[in-house]
Amino acid sequence: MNGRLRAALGLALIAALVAPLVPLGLWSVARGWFYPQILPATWTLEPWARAFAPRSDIPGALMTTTLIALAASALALALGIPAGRALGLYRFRGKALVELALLAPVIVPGIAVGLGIHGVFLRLGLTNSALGVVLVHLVPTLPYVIFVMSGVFSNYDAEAEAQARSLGARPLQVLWHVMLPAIAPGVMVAGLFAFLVSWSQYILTLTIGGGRVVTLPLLLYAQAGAGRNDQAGVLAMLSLAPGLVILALVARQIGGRGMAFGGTR
Amino acid sequence: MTRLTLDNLDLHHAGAARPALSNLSLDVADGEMVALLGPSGCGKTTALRVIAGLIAPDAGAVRFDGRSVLHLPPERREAVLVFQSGQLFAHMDVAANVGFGLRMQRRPRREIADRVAEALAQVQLDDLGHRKPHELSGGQRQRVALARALVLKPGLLLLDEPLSSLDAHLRTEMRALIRRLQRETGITTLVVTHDQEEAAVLGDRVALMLGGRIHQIGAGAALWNRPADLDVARFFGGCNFIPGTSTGGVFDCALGRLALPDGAPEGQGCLTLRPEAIEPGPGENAVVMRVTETRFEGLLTRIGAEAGGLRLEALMRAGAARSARPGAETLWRLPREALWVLPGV
Repeated sequence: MNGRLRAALGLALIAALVAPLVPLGLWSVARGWFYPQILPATWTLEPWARAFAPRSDIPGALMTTTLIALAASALALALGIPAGRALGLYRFRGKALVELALLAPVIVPGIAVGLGIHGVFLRLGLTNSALGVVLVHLVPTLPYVIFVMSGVFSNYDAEAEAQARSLGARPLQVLWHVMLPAIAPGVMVAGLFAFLVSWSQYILTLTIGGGRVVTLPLLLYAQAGAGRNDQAGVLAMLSLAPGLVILALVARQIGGRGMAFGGTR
Repeated sequence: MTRLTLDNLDLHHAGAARPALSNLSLDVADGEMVALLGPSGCGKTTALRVIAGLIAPDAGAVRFDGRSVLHLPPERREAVLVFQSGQLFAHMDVAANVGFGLRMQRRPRREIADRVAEALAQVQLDDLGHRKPHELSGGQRQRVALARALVLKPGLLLLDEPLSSLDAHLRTEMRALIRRLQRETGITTLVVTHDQEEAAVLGDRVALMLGGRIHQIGAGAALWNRPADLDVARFFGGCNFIPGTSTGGVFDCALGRLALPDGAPEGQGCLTLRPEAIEPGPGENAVVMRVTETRFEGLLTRIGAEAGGLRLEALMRAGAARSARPGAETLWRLPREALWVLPGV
């Protein structure tokens, strides 16, 4: 493929991905926007003001979503890094089975998983609580973390740790000074992905949170369902924000040479 | 510095057909450099890892200055192992790599900086402290790895194939550097290698390890010319083995009666001599041989010849080898001082 064709395809792809978001953005700053107008008749920041008014539940949901996503991704990393290390570094009996089992949450529909776990969490008293939601968010986030980390660890030379030990480092010092710096880029990518997956979770939050734990996706579905396009627009823009920030942060890591911004060059 | 003693070490990796270490014993004197020589898979790297504390043996003891260290984790042993690959930490620059061990000991910043500078000077890399490992050549990386160990002033230095990743000309240079630093610092050193020449140049003594145990230890020339057994002789390229009986300084065999050097063992045995020791022409211990083949091997030519149902090989310079044509008869002298009898084989 020559450069110009590549650039054109890249632009087309970006347009296809960004175009659906444009009306959402416009809705959040429009007053009265009806068919067949191509652009809104009047512009306003009123939907945004309303979203952040004292009685609005959006600021609270923003905080809840952020905290749950942070907790879920931290927990997913704490469990996923050791698991990824085991899968990436060692060969053991039944490894293929474990890898397949890890894919299961990605294959099985969220609603089925959610309902199944709901029964268990009900007995444990974890339903309708933020803790329960954090835990259930491990279902979709943990596989991502494990897969990213097992890839990272399959390129990791554990001999460096033996070398560090021989040079006088205690096990915790090895972890901190040798292993973590070596896998840091992978940990960042895995953590950010886990954050995004948790951030945009709807079904699992709804089934386990029971409507008591209110996150942005829940509000977004409610407002969109009620036809309040201006509020849905604001919520969509808010939901989009961390994804864009994270994409900008990790683009270099994923593409190896700044895929997101360098692809059209 | 530290005296190293290995006592009857045994180690059998789970699932392996043969033991990695079998009854391995070795003594390295204070300040001595011993080359642990052996083919790949003979267990020499495993031995280093056991001494460093990275693997525990099934049985036996590792002693530093007579005290067992088996209960100590690697970071608390006075031994530092330098890995074959160098294992520089990619995320640290050269100075940080060299200072790693001192930082782990929480030494004062000032002291670390001084000692790192000193160690880098020792390996002649004074100006490269700020470089990252990927900006270094293979030889420079190996020298950083060496400095990183030396800066700790260990009682015992363990080098795993320190030259194997280097080009031929760099090897000679690095070999001299290791030799010089070891002399200057007096650190007891055990260096593992598969290269006979390297072992002979580096080691005060050479220990030949085959199949998990030491077969012979001594000066390089002794292993070459006076092998302890057939395996040692074969490892050093020995190819002439003549069965017979030794009585009163004479060896009776299919080639006739050969005069032996003084002090040769008596009784049944196997006579061996190095192929390059054989000389063309008449004299003491001269035998008539029928040439079967010649093969050009660069500096020397390898000549195969037969007599009395025995096959011998000689390595000769091109001039001496020119007269040897397959099928021709030739006179070979087996110099008395080059003969060596392996008793009871």
